[in-house]
Amino acid sequence: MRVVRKLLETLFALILILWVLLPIYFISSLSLSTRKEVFSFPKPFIPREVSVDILRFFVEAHGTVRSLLNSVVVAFISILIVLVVSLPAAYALSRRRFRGRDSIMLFILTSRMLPIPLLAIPLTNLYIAMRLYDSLLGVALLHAAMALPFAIIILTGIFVKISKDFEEAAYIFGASKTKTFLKVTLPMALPGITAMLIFTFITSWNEVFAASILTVENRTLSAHVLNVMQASPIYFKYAAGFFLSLPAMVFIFLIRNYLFEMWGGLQSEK
Amino acid sequence: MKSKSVRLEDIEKKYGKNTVLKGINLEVEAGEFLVLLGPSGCGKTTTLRLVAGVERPDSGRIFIGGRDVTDLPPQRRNVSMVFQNYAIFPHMSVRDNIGFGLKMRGVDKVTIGKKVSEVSRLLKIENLLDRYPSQLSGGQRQRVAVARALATPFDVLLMDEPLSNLDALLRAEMRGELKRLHRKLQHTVIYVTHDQVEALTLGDRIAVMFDGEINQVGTPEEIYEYPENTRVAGFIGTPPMNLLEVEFDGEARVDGLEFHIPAKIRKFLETHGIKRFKLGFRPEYVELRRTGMSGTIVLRENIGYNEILNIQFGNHIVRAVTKRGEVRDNRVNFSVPEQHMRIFMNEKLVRDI
Ligand SMILES: Nc1ncnc2c1ncn2[C@@H]1O[C@H](COP(=O)(O)OP(=O)(O)OP(=O)(O)O)[C@@H](O)[C@H]1O
Ligand SMILES: [Mg+2]
Repeated sequence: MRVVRKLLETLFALILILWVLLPIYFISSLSLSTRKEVFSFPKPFIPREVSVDILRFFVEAHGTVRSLLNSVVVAFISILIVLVVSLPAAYALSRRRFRGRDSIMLFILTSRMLPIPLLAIPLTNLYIAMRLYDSLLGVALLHAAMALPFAIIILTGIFVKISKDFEEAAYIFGASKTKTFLKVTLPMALPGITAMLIFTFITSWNEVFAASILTVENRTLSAHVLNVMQASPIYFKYAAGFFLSLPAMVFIFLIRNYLFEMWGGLQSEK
Repeated sequence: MKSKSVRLEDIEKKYGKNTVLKGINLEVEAGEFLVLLGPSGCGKTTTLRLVAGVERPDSGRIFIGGRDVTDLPPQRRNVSMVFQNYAIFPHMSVRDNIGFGLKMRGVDKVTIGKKVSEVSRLLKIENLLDRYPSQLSGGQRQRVAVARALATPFDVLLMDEPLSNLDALLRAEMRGELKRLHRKLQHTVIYVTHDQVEALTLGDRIAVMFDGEINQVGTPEEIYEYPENTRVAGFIGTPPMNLLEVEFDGEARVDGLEFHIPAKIRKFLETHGIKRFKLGFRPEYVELRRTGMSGTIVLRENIGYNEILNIQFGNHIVRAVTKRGEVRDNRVNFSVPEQHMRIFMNEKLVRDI
């Protein structure tokens, strides 16, 4: 019985892994092969020839570099906004017991209840009125707004885990509140904060809908790709897919231990 | 010398509906080593946290060196503390942990370095200075916590069970170090423990606490010889004081058996018309001779050089400490010297008989 269960579990895990990895594998392997191979059928599982030809074509295509830079700028502005807003918010939520604290936590999440398409027209109107339309700052603001609820909730959890005792010890040994935050709380939260920021970065990097409707000229990479997709050869799409998923893959790989800790406690089961 | 006195006046502390401290009054003199002793959950840590200022009392005032500090934040009280759960900073090396308080006071690096190596030598952790807390055992962490508290300048030192996690040998050694250090520097210390040996050996005075109330404050001798009430009597000493329910009708009887009491006590009981009381005497003072009350040994507990005899007397067990192997026979006679008998009325010690 135990063996059967174990077997089923393994099988299920395997399916899940393939489900995620296969598309990534095909996108990566094809974008690292030659154009000829992309059109061949059946496609080889392992590329016969490895080449950066396709990737170079993508990078050299009109608008790619510019939109790539835009993406980076937008991501960093949203990270900055998220940091400035979520740090104090999460700290207050974790340390103070005030009336309405739980409702606020809930309310923060409700901002994600409205689907972006629903907001598209009012948002566009608002952005035009505020002269934010087609600006990187505008896109960054929306990305920050999208990432903030989770950022605040993740960060609150991180601060809650840092025992108040450390701060109290710091106070007793003469550290002011600011010093205590900077020298004790913040360093202890740093791994979590980094993970949260990477999460924000990925959110912004991958976001396509809002970026597409709020810009015309200043498109981010994902918006740009979406825009030119129909008119592009298939290998362009592979390269684009590869580029768009690369940061997420790298970053998630870097913070994987932390994600496990935050979201599942997988490590404690070992 | 700049050690300062501490005074707690009518301190009350509630957590929600739960009153944890019920009017604490305590005076610690400058340079005194006061031990707070009491069972788990009686409010020892809470008391220390109030003195440190990381917790505020619901009512009452706290004075350090005569100055009312009740409304001052911890940073301005100039106390140092060893936390029960250590609270050493996990992201700092042992060295940085110990030097933290000095650094916050803006002391220069050279002086910090000197002080750190001085206290780490005292606590035998010199070889751990470059490690991080996660690389230390519980006992090592605890010593880092003590070192950090000692390295930081203070008017009052608060220690919350600072040796609880050390092995017996190291604990005895550290106890000696702390005692020596206090003799030399004469700083004011409030020291929490539920280890009686620690309390009796370290304390200039001991405050015994139960359920958020201080039951008795006194020198170790006073607490040991004259426990204020049956609760203290039953808590202090290993094994604690024998407490027998006695009925008096001209003769003292325990479960119907006659118990020999001296004329002085008999007279006292007669003049006050006392019919029932509790008689207390320490197991160490029980004399086992040919004469006296007779009882049967039902259990012998070996405690090394000595043994504890559990003697059945009526429905009571009388405990006596003797040299191991001294009493062979299980039928024994025992008596209690007059000066070691204590009378408790309504659970309170009757002092002048
Ligand atoms: N933050 C808190 N919230 C609610 N109740 C608390 C809190 N801290 C302590 N208490 C309660 O107050 C009482 C006294 O706690 P305290 O920690 O002072 O005990 P203690 O004497 O130090 O015990 P121990 O010897 O186990 O450390 C306990 O009943 C405890 O449950
Ligand atoms: Mg405690």
